[in-house]
Amino acid sequence: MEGISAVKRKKPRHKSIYETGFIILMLAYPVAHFIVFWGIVNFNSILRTFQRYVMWQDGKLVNSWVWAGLDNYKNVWTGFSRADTKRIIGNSLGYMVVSNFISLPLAIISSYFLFKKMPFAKWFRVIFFLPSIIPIVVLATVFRFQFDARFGLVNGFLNIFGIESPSWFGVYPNSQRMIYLYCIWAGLGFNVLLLSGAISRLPVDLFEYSHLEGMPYVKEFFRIVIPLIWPTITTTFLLGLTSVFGVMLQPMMIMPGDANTQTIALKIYNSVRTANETARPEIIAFGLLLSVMAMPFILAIKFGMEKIYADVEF
Amino acid sequence: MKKKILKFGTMLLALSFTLTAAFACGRKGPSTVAPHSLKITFYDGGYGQAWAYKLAEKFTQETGIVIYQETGINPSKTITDDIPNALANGTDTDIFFSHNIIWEVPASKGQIEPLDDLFAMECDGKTVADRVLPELLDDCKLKFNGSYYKLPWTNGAGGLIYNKVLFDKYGWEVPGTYEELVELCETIENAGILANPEAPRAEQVNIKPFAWSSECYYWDYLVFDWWAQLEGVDSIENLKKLPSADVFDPAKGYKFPEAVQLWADLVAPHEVNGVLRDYSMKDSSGRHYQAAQIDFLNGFAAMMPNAQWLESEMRDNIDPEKCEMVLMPAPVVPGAKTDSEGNPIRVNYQVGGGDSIIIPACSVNKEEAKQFLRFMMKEENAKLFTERTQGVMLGVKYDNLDGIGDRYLTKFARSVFEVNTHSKKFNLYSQANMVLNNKITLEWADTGVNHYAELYNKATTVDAVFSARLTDIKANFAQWKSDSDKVFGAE
Repeated sequence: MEGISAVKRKKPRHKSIYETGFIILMLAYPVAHFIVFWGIVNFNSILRTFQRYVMWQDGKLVNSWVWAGLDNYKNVWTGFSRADTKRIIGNSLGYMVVSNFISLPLAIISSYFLFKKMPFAKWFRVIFFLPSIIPIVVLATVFRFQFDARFGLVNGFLNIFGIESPSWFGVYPNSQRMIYLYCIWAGLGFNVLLLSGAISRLPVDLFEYSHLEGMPYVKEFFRIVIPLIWPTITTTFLLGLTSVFGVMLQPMMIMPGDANTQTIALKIYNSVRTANETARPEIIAFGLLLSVMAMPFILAIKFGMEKIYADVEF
Repeated sequence: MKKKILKFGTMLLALSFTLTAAFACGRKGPSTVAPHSLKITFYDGGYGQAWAYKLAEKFTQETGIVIYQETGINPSKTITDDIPNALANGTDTDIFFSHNIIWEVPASKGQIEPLDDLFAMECDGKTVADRVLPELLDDCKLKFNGSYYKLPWTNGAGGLIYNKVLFDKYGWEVPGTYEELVELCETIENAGILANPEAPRAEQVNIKPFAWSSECYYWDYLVFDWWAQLEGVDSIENLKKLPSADVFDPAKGYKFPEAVQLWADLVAPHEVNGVLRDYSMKDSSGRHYQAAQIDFLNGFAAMMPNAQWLESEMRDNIDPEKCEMVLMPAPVVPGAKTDSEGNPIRVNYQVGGGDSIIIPACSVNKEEAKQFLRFMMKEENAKLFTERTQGVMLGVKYDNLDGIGDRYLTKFARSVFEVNTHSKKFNLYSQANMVLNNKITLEWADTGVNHYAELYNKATTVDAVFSARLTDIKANFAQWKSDSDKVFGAE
């Protein structure tokens, strides 16, 4: 006891005013940023969905927000039965399917091939990533012209074999499928970059071991690579899920104008662009309601995916 | 040393935060343009930029009010999206020119300068209000308080633009009626003229009556004219007030579906004497607008739906041996209304009738800005605008086109003038509460559907489109009106 009591407890050093000030000031910007651009914006947006703008009444300028209860949500809910709303939601859900079940598997396989140093691997890496660094306006125009009935390379190629090309963009749902195709083409590089990074971090010993054991590539891919890069796959998969609410530029650039290919984000964007702000509460309610409905599914999928493989540190 | 660095870092951070806060709390409004000099920002689309530089130069010479060519003239492709934020949070622009300015609510909130004094100013021996086209004058006024807040930008004209080189070469007559248009299409189709005989055989195509693209709304400019011919401009003006759902009922005189049906009968593939006819270039509804315009300029098609900016937009690509554009008056459809002398009425949809010129309330050069607008409204300066845009007309009265240089006064410019001056103009701009509140649109339903493409590809019928719309409007009209009246007051 004596010995213990003899140990002098180190007195916590008081921070100087400059140290405290420095910490406060360093934290001030991110905290202020979070409060202003996340907290206030989201609070204000949610609040707006329960309000109505009253601009003029009885010839007098009122110019204020009043409580509207659930009116905006009721209008949005009624709108869900409309054919165009169903189509917009269907188009948007398609991006999730394309991202997660076509684009992501393609990216995983491509990344593995690149990792295995297949011939022209470096060249392919550049080719994959090239669409990601070209402005979307240029890329979308180039993509459209490839399928043009007179100038298009694709149509010209098909014509060589006597194949009559369809109207790629002229009729729905072909136009929607073409935008999905564009997303696969233009989005592959980004996923390949993420997954290549994850694969390249895997311990080389494991691959040497699998080589010594004579493990075939397919087995190596499914038994070693996939489980070890699973956290990255999960993240990419979740990003794919959120594309349901985020895809806007692709349909806007590829099919400008009303082309049946609207998405949730594009509808919200168009509504905000072309409508008076008095119409915004309903638009915000539309986005918010869909997000709230989707949230449990996204969280459940995240939870489920994290359970498939244990997280491994290496 | 460590303490000094810490002290220095803390002071620096504190200073930066103080400065940020000081700037953030500063007064809204201009900061970069000197007083008594103007900055104008305009939508940089098909009208080009030359008009702004020319007018600014002349204005500065005449008034001494400076518009710096480098900093005072700001062409912008994103201005339409930027304006709401600029009006709400401050801008150094003194005058905005753009399409689709959502101005009614910002004007109500005092973010846009009222222009009542400008409209009362003297201009060419009259007032500015007298110079504005009568059919656009009321659209400049906010219905809630009766004040003017905008000037109309252009008096747009659209419809079918034809290639005069082809018409002259093959002896085709410009159609005056719908039947003549059908006959012309049949003539062009039957002629089987190769558009590119020098190309390899597999790539050769015949000249087609129409070139158009997936941006199908250009067809509106022709179809709206047919609608007005059938229903009359007064009836459309009544529809804009949205008195009841019946204004969308074909059984009660709504003629837009009939006009669209005429379009579908002409343009959608159909049989003529047992032979399938498609008067459009292959896959028109799926083509990029630039591809369609290139084909039209190269003589692959005789006509193209478009508007007054086409020649100006494409001027660098026009080969006069292959293409000379002329805007044709809308062919008269069967059943068109007639005037007091029994002649079919001539009408023309005002493309961009809702385009606006506004002065932000935060401008410190409001008086100079008003001087510039008064200057611009004068006929000689309106002609200067028309000259430098090759045919685009301001939303003011023109007696003639005298004084415009021959270099600029193309056949296309003359044809736009001819259509504008010999037609009763109309547009679909409305301040009905339901329109302001985004509950209803006046022409097509706001469903994100490309109706022309659907009809062209036989994915739907005109009856189906408009029956669904009428059912929707009838089911929701009362609710939409009630919701909108709560925002803007009972109409």
